[in-house]
Amino acid sequence: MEKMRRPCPCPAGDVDAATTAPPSPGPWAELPVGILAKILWRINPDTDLTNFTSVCKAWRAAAADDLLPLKHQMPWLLLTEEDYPGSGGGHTRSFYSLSEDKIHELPLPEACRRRCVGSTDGWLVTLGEAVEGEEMHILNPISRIRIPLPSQSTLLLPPEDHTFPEELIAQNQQRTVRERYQSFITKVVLSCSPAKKGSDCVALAIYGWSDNKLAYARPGDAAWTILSWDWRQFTYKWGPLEDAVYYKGQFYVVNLHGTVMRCSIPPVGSAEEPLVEVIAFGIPYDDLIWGNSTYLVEHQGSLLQVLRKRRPSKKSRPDKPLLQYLTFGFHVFRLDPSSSAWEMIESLGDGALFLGRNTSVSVSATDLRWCKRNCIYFTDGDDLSPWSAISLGGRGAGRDTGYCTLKDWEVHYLDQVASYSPSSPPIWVLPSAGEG
Amino acid sequence: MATTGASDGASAAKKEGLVTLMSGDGEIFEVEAAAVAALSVTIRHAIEEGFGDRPIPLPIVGARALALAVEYCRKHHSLGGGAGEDSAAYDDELRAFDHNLAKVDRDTLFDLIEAANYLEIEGLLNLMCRTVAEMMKGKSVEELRRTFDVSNDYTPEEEEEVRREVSWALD
Repeated sequence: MEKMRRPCPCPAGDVDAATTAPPSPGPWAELPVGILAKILWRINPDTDLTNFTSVCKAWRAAAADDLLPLKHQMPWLLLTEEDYPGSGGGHTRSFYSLSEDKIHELPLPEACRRRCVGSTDGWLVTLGEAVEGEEMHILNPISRIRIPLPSQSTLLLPPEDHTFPEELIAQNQQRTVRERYQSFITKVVLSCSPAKKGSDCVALAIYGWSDNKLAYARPGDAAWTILSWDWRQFTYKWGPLEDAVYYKGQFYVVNLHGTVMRCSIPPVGSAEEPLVEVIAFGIPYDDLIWGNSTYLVEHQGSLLQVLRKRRPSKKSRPDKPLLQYLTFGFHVFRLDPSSSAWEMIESLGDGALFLGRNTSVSVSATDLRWCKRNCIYFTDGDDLSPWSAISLGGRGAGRDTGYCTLKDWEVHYLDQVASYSPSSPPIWVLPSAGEG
Repeated sequence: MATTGASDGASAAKKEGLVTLMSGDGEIFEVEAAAVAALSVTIRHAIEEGFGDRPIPLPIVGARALALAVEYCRKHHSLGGGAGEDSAAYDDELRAFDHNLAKVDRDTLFDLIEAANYLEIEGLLNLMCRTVAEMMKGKSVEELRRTFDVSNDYTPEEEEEVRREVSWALD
């Protein structure tokens, strides 16, 4: 009889080894790893994953084999659903692995048709698309463990459009309610991974029609707590809030002028009020130019402020006929804590920064050997507020994604995986430093 | 239904458009080639490799699972839902069919998973894996072991360690 090729779509489990091993835990434990993975993807990660891994060694190994090594391929760039819809019929998301120059498609229905407004220590912050009562979660894209944050509806106050120029108010009012809410929350940063033992995971959201509001919440809270502050602290250095980072036990927030506020969030159960105070004014290089962005990042123990310089692109692309801002360089400043002054630094040493809609981080090129030293990796910083969405001509943000070596300000774009979205552009996903 | 057994030997007058499958336990199935080839990658390749006029041996697929897999292929092919639950043609009738097909006992479920994997019928494999995931819903570790007849190969210390390792997620 002619022997048939035995195709196997899933990597076969080590059946031979299992049958010679002393006591067989049963045929279900000996299913090929690929099939166990398919089952694993469909169980509820919030409630059933722990029990799945506890049943027997083979099931635990399937979970570990299938899920855990992916972590070592980070950093990833989460590509947009619009340009990388995947083959899973709307159940998967695609990640570009920089180190492997390869795209991974993961089953991740929890991140489909949702905005991704943050990424900290390997966890994403997702936001439902619907307008009111829509849920927010902290989501681990590998284990698919999902932890609830309060709904964004608890942030909804009467829109304060008075800060918009009048013609923009008019444009804004022509937009559908959904379009307006798509840009309601700009960015959420976490103090740390929610999995980090013995630590207080707090989410801080930058939101509001002109990115001028802050709120915080802990996983499981019923509502966001809105932070208020004394506007007189700012003198004329007020501007949209651009970025936030958790540094030495407190959140720091920077606006477009480079003014930095410190937010002291009271511990759980405390009767203290949250305190927001300006701790440092603008960087010396204070050329406030439309299109520039500022970021805060911890680097080798210091707090850095990064000014990302962008200018209108010279070349008009056929797919993006309208004006587009592209990055051409960065200035980096270190905060001197004793004088609250910023000093410009010329080099990041062996460090590399990852900036964008993720929580900004510094990694060591010695640890991530493929990664370039003294380099800044960035994703499109276009804010998605109504006026820039209009100027982006429909496809949305995503083009301005790549890296810049600081020595020569040479910018390279990740054109091979260019992807665009009007509401949820590409975002970096990096594991936390401690988890390797 | 599959016309099982009782074929009049190697009948020369083979019916047009049919292909013969032989299960691991030796039963013969004559089925419409178009239906099974559309759904099963393995059978499509076998036909392409010239098995069209000889029985295709499917050594690890038992007759019971093969009959169900063939039924799945026929139904999905006739209703145009070859791509499974993500396909636009996946309507109420197919949904009801899948729902009924999934109501099998544990051992048949296992055989169907192996058959779908071997035959590379993606929709069927996904359906069965989802069924297993549904069966796992809300079950304790002990209940899972009983449901799937898996014996515990952890030492108590190892088990405690595994639980500790993953339990932070639920805190």
